[in-house]
Amino acid sequence: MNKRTTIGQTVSRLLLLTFFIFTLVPFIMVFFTSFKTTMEINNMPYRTLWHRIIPDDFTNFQNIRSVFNGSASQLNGVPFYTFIINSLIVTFVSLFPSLILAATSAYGFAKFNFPGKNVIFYMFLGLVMVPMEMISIPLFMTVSKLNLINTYVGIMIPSFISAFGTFLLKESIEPLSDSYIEAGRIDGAGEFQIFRKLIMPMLSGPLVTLIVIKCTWCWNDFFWPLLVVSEESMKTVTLGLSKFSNDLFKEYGQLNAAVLLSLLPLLIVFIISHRQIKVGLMGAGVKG
Amino acid sequence: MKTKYKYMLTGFLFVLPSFLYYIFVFLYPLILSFINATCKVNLMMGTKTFIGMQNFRNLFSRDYFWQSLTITIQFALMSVPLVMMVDLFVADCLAKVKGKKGNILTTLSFLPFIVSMAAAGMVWDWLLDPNLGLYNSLLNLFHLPQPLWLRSPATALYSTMLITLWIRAPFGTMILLGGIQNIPEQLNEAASLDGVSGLQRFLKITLPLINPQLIMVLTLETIFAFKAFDQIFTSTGGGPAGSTRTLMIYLIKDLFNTDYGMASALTVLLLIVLFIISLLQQTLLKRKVDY
Repeated sequence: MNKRTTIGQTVSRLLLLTFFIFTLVPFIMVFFTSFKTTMEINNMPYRTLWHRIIPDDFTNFQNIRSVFNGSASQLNGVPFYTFIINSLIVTFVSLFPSLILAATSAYGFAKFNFPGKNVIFYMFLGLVMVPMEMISIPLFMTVSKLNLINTYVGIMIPSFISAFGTFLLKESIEPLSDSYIEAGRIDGAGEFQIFRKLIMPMLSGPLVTLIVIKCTWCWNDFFWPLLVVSEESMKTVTLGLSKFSNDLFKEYGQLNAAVLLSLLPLLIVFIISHRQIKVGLMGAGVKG
Repeated sequence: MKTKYKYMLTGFLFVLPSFLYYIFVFLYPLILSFINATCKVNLMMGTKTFIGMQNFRNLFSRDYFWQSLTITIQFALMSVPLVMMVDLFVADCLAKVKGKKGNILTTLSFLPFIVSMAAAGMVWDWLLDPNLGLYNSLLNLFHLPQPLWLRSPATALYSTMLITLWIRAPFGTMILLGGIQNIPEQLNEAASLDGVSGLQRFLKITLPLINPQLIMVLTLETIFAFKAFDQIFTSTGGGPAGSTRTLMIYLIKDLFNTDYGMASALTVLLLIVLFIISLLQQTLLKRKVDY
């Protein structure tokens, strides 16, 4: 009995270790490969395994520089920071409307009753379950009719709303006591004032969670920008990245440098707020 | 009585802006895609002619459609169980590690969540490069056979599953971990005092009690597998020899910008299939949990 448990434990430890190596190796390799020359990557002259992993010279910023300023051949002179700026604009500008829409609708669903509320709520549920990709073709046709192809607004159109945010915030508003709202009304505060001055401050935790997750999704979106952006100067980070994937003979050094650059902003966000993302996702499952 | 109506109106007004935008960005396109699926659509001229089920008939007569449907089903049937088993295993392990160590491990296991699927496809394309990649260099060191991974029709689809596992594992793991940590500790303690083995506890206590989370992950991963696109587009682009051409790759590479009617027919078909699958999963497998 005892012996069997130890064998079982050893096996599960080994499997867990394998999982962690599998998960973390890509990050390490992206970082290392960004500093490698083409000769190093092509294994010329023949190298031992250790030297195929670790770059010879950590001060070789050639890849990162050529991607950043656009001199890398795949970029056709468009510097990578253009894509980063585009993505920053798209992410930040779409963040505020989506937060406001999510918070107001969550408050309406959580604390009020009106005819048809449940129907509308279940319709919102459909927005979470139905993948955006499935309705992107008619949405693309609408966007092109409105002449919003190759514009920031066109890229942001699906991100102005966040059904996930509505659910997350609804779950957080429901447990709040109604007596706050009653007290506000007795003091003569308007309904919107109650929402803004009383409810919103109590949502700071879930709001941070929502901001972080929403930024991650918006930054990483690929499918929708692929449809609505064709102009080089309007491309987002993920589209800029994919330029490195098209060649038959890939410049892996530059490819990894581009991935590294696209990853850095989110990595910073992640280091600051990984706790909030975890809490948000764990909670989403328990409540849902 | 009057205040009651006032509060009804207030509640409705709070939901209204979202609802209007929802109609514009979701409901209207959704209805439009059903209409377009039965029409010949010309985007340039802005014309639509009703042609009934012709788009579907055209779609079913294409070899590529059947081929990509088979590939998508194959992808879903293999990648969903793979991702879920890893999710479950990792979440169960992480739940047992307490304190600061557990926290660090959870954070590390979570790291791929921030990577875009497009980037994941590209990074793994590099790691799995048959000649220069890390994995074949390792296999070479131990004189093991070195597969061509993404470059051979025989292995490409399995390789994309590996990429999918890497990028999707954190999401499901977190949701399942939330469920496992929510189980009252007394249950496991009592069972362990009664001499119930670890595996038995996992099967008889943990699994039934995280049923809602499991079904949620199952449904989301199934939807995800059927719409697999980004990571495949940037790693193989649907090749080699069409061996990783999933329905979404087919949609974008072959139908989009050439025939919007047929493209809509394909998405409508996928929508219906996904709706039925999700509904079945939610009704047949979901149990009410009470502890």
